[in-house]
Amino acid sequence: MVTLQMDGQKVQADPAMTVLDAAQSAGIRIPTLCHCEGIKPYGACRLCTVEITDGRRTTLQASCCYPVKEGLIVRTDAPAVIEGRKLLFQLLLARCSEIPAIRSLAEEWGVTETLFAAKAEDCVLCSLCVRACAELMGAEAIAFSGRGTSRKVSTPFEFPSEVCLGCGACTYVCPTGRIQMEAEAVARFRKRVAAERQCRYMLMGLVSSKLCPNNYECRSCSFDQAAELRFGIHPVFVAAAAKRQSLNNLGETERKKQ
Amino acid sequence: MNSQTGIASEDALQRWKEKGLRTISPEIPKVTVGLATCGLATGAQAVFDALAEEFDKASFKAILAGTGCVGFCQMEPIVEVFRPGQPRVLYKQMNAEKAQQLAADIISGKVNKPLAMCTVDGYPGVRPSQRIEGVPRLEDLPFYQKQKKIVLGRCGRIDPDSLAEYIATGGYLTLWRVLKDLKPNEIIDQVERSGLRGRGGAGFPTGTKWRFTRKAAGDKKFIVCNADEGDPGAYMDRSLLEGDPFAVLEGMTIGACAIGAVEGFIYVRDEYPLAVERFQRAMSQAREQGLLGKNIMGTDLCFDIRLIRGGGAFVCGEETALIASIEGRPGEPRQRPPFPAEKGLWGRPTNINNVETWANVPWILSHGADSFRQVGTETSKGTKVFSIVGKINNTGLIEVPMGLTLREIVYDIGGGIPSDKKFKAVQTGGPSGGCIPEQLLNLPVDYESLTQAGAIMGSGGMIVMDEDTCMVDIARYFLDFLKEESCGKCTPCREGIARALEILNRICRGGGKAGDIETLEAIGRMMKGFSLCALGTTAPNPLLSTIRYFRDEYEAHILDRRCPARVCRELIRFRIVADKCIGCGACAKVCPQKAITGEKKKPHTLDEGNCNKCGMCYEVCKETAIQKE
Amino acid sequence: MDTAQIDAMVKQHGGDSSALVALLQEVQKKEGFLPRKALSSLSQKLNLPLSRLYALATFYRSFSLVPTGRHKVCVCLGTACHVRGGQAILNRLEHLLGVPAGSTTGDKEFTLDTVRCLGCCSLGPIVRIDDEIFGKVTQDKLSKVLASQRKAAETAKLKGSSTQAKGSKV
Repeated sequence: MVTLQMDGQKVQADPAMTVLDAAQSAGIRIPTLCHCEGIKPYGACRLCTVEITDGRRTTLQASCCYPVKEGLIVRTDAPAVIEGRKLLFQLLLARCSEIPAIRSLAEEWGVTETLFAAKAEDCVLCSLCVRACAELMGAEAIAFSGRGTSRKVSTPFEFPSEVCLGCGACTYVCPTGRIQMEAEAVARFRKRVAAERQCRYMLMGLVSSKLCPNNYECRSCSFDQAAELRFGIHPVFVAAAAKRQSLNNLGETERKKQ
Repeated sequence: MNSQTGIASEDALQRWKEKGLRTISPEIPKVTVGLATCGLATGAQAVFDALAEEFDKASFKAILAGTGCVGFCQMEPIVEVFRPGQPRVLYKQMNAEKAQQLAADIISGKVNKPLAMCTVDGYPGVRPSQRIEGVPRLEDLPFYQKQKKIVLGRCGRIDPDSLAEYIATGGYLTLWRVLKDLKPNEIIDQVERSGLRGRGGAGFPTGTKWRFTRKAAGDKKFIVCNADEGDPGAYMDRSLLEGDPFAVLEGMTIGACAIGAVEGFIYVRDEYPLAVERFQRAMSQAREQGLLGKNIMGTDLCFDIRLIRGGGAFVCGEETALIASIEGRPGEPRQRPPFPAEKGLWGRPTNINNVETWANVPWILSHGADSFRQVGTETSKGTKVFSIVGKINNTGLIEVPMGLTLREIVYDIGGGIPSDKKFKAVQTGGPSGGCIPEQLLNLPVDYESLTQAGAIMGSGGMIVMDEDTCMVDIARYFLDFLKEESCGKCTPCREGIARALEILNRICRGGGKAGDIETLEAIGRMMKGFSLCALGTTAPNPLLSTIRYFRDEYEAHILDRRCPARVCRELIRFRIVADKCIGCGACAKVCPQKAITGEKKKPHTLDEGNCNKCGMCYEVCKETAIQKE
Repeated sequence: MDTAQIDAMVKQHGGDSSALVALLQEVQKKEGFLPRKALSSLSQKLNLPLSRLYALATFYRSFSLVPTGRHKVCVCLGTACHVRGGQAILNRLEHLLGVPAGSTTGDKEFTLDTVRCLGCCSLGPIVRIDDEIFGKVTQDKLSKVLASQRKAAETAKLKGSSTQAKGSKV
């Protein structure tokens, strides 16, 4: 265990934690948007930025990516943090002026208006969907294309994906509700012949063999409802953890062959 | 590659040295034309061809060769003439016609004084030459007087493709001695002691970085040469790779030995095809001679380099983005820690240094750390290569000891501002840097002074600006550049730059509002603290430095709707001064809007309603009858 | 490019991830752009998701997903060139070619683009047409340069050759 100071409070943390993890465990509030339990931190939204004194250096850092260390001094209420955070929220509000989730998050942190001209984007480029698809499913059906202000999430050539597994993880993690891959995939699966109508749970790797009995009307499927109750979280998180576990069991040399 | 056919002994080095000396100073006349990118762009090939033709016609026995950039780009194409026993002469601003004349003089053994720029010394095995009356020596030319060549010593003097000439000028002797006499930690000691700091811009102590990488845990280590020189206006690395590629190669090999790396990469930006070609040729020759690859110079050292071309992204100059790019991914930076020295390429310890940093290494190891420390200031040792460009008389590439003042660079070396215009600012550090005004010209050039002034050393691009440059437009220019180059991953940079640019565009079009400057400053402050990588954290520098030193220009744009430098199109107007206009019609002919009308030989009129402020009429009018206000 | 060519290319550069950008650069060089089919073939050959190749193709400036013109007209907008009037040169070229920067003329002859920078700052403002660099360009001289390029292109077409036209230097 390591001990660090957070907003004047002594906090004990597991060495594998990040500053954000430590703050959350101590009940200290830090805003986040691109953070999701079970997905590796990415540091894109920068809302979780705090002031960190590490040895002799004091800098602003994204807490989701900063590993805890003995003796760190963290301030989530430093003036530069408060001022910058407010401006960042204003930028997000201006970008996604019509997205309720963004409005309410900003409001939670005291920002209800923005200096900047409103745009009506529906994506905050948090990258959770892209990361879920790559890290949790290994499908990589979507990725970022372009760069800078033309950066966006898309399928290759913006054509319907041929590799999407319809797992719905992207929809589950998306904070703005923009991603609709699940619906497209399901529509595609419905066109398949009977023998190829694999259940999504089979595609996710959670069951070894199952064909869909319900025309992909997952919401009225008893199997799907039971699974949701059992996991309590989107099944793809369970699948990913199970896959990691089985890879660990295989051992180093085998893993390299994968 | 076995050591019997490669260079693996002092004897072999000596033989190659003699071979090189024979081509550097042959027994017949030798004429060298600067054929680097700058030279070629000014027509050096035509000069080369003209000389070849004339020598051919006269059956004149001479060697005709190409070389790299000698630094005085303003004077390109440059031709060097060597006649055994006589002073070497450099000729300036050549063209095909002058080349014909020069060829005749060379054939008849004469020096063409009007075309001559200077005599040049400092070649190995040749005593300092006599003076030629009426022709200055290179070191007496104002452009060269205050320079000190450590890294650029060979550029423009040797054939960059010739390994022999590299060895004849001291090359690879250092690697030989290092491999024989020094342990890896001792090499790092020397580099640390020298005080060498990263020449790519950040100025991190090189020896310290090498030590971190050497100590870091990992099954293998990599070294990388960052040749992604993306700062517009900077071309130091290009010239080094085109003019003296072996120096960079030798530096990297010494580094590999010190750090314990077996594989290296050089990442060259896509826009530098000649640099790529030259470096690849240097690597093949080095491999052929056992200077790269397995058992280098007959020792246990195994090290090879792969050249990777960039895909056209400024952000790839940032080290974690560069790593991503080499790994075959888009150039998106990632947060540090962990630093590349600990976890870089494919999670392994990786040492990344800039081209100029690597090129300093052989000199430091051969002359000693203490010699290097004698040059420069207390905190910034050695020299720095700068490109001085923009509104300056003597544009070119210079190498000066750290600590020289900006004033000396702009006026003594640079020769001041063309057309007697007034100096306004010098921009250093590219899009991560800032603009330094007249009142700070006495600042010494070193890392700390420039950072305190709101700029940075950067990679060495120095852009001089005069009274005709609008500083608000400059801030806008840099943000416009960065908007295209931002990877877009993090909110502060992507959104911050776009919104700051919106405000600046509005200001430059006459739509500035009270509070705009304060908003720009707030965006700048936020970006500096919250951005993921150095592109974002330094993006506000040009904006903040121009607000700091040229606030009056911002206020003129916002409050008076006026552009004092008369650059911002929506805020200027063109009109014809009737009593100066001779009615030649030149302006009417070129106007894309057909906004100028008039009869022949009678004063013309400009319809301001149709005018798009392109300025073409202003450009072509020989009577200065068109006013820009 | 057919599968045989793709296979040869992969053999030459290697199939590991650090060769990806180089492979795409080869395709760009041969085809003048990155055809969707070529990317799909590469994706299959290398056993990598197509989204990875698409991400690279759209991130890096050296690639184009649409065919480009026979000749590339590139205006340098580096700082030194900007300070010497590079923007006015670009505006003028947009007017002369009738297309905005980043587009190709209707007759597919010219693609107009910008670059920052070419490293020839002492010669600013600079325009590069294919491999030839024109320095110290003025708006006035531009029309002459383009006219001679167009003329040379027409002559080359008439002669039936597909080699690039060499214009006269300014």
